[in-house]
Amino acid sequence: MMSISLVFIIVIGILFILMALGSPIFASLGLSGITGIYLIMGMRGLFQLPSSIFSQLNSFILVAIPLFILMGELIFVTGVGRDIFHIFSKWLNNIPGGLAIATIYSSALFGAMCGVSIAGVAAIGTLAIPEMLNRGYSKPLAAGSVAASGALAVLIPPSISFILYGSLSAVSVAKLFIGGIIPGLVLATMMAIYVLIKVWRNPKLAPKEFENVTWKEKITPLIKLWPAIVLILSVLGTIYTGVCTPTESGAIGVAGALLITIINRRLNWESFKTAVLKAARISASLLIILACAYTFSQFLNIIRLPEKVAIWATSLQVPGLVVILISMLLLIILGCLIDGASLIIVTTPILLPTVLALGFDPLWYGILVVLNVEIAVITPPVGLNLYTLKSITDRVTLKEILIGTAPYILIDAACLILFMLVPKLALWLPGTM
Amino acid sequence: MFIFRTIINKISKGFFILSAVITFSLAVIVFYNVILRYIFKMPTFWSTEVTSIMLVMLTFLATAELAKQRAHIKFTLFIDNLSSRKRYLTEILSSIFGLIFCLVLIWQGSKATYIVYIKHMCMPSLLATPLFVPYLFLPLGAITLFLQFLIRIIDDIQHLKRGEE
Repeated sequence: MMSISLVFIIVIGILFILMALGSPIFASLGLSGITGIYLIMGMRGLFQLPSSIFSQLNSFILVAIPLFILMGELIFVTGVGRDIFHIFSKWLNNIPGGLAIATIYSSALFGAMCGVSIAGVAAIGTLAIPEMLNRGYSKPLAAGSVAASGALAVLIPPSISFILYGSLSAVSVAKLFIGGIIPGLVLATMMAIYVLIKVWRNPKLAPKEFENVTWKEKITPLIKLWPAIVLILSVLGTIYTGVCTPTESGAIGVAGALLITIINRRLNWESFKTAVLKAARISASLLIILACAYTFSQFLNIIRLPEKVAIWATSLQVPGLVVILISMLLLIILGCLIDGASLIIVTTPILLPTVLALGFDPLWYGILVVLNVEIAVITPPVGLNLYTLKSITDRVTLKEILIGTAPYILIDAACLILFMLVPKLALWLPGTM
Repeated sequence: MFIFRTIINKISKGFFILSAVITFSLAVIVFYNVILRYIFKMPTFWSTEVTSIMLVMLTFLATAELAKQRAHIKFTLFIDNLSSRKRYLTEILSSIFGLIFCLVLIWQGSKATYIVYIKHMCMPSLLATPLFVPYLFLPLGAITLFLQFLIRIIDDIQHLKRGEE
């Protein structure tokens, strides 16, 4: 019989080797988890594999994942992103760096209809990058504002990250969704302030266009915002008031997005087919990781790792907040190496027991974890938003994207620290539900 | 080999299209239940269970096509900068590990499906769906995934032999 420490080293070794070889994350987690369970429990341990995978996936709350992804894909087809960006750019025209700020708030509003950050980058970036560059904006400034603000979709509900965290932590997804609103708005505003200060100090970065936009030109297009407002109210409104579960709101969102595509005359068989196939692809790639990660979590539970970590952390002679700070640093480092969804799926079962043992609110911790995902999607080498932006435009290089996005990593980190030190800021709104 | 590949690719594609149909059907069923619940005050007793089972189906039916498209999420930091030869070698190795994982899933998944079938086990709900129905999709998805990994290994070996980039 091998010692538990040796089994743990073998399992972690297998996990790292498989991941380094570029094996799919679901197979890396599944195979290393199975190996660990087999080494400790033998054949009888393997017998529970199908039932554990089934029980992990057989969940009504997880049904919200394909629904919100489908809603986001349909919204992408509607062209609403373009309307939102044009409206914001008219209103913010006279502000230094107005187009970059318009990009940030457009991404925030788009994020309130779509829970996938790369969709936000693609929808807003395809319009905002040419517009900003034609106006003479610096390339890093333009690229940074698109890539970083696209990540707001991760935090602003409906958010796939919150559904994943909710399903692993048993925290209400509805409360997580509502809890993401204030951090999302605060982060968007912090990003906008950064652009304002940067351009104010160096106006050459974003030449101002002396286009005189009349009030009529500002107010008339506002009517085009109705689809966004109706959709956000119907999805978030029904969740906040407790009328619908997040899954039901997801279905309402799909119906609403479909209706908007019909009204905007954007619905054709090809666009519909593309949206549904893409939603199936993204959903399946996330859900299979979730299913196989459960095997890995079971192994960790068998060796009682989360419990041991919790006991160790509570025995430390340091304030609980220091432990949270260390875990946040760990999440930031891991977020550079693995994608946001995997980050939540792998770390939550290990770290959450410690958070609970220290007496912290799991809802607050969930918001902090998702703020980490905000950073993960814009940090190289894995930051998906960086590569998504590169894939939609040839006018900026990857280097310019990296340079432009780097300051936003610090802004995200500052926002993370703010919500870590002032939990009430995040917990107030869900507390009113 | 050509016929084998064509058949497996068609099955994977067919399963993927089915998973896309399921994705849209999930929205239709949940929305239908919302209408029944909040307008007619008569929610269905089956939609929660059916949609949860459909989620299992969606996941396992799509997985082989995702492997074919190399669309599964993975960590590429170390393999991105490798020469094409070394990259093919690591791809082959990672596919072999994928095969091993699939074999365990097929073996344990089939065994579990058979047991719940002969014991007439059902879900503890009003609908009482026989458990073998959702369980079946695990070995089914794993078999197609296994075959896709096999095709990938054969393809990568051929690329290596030809010395292709």
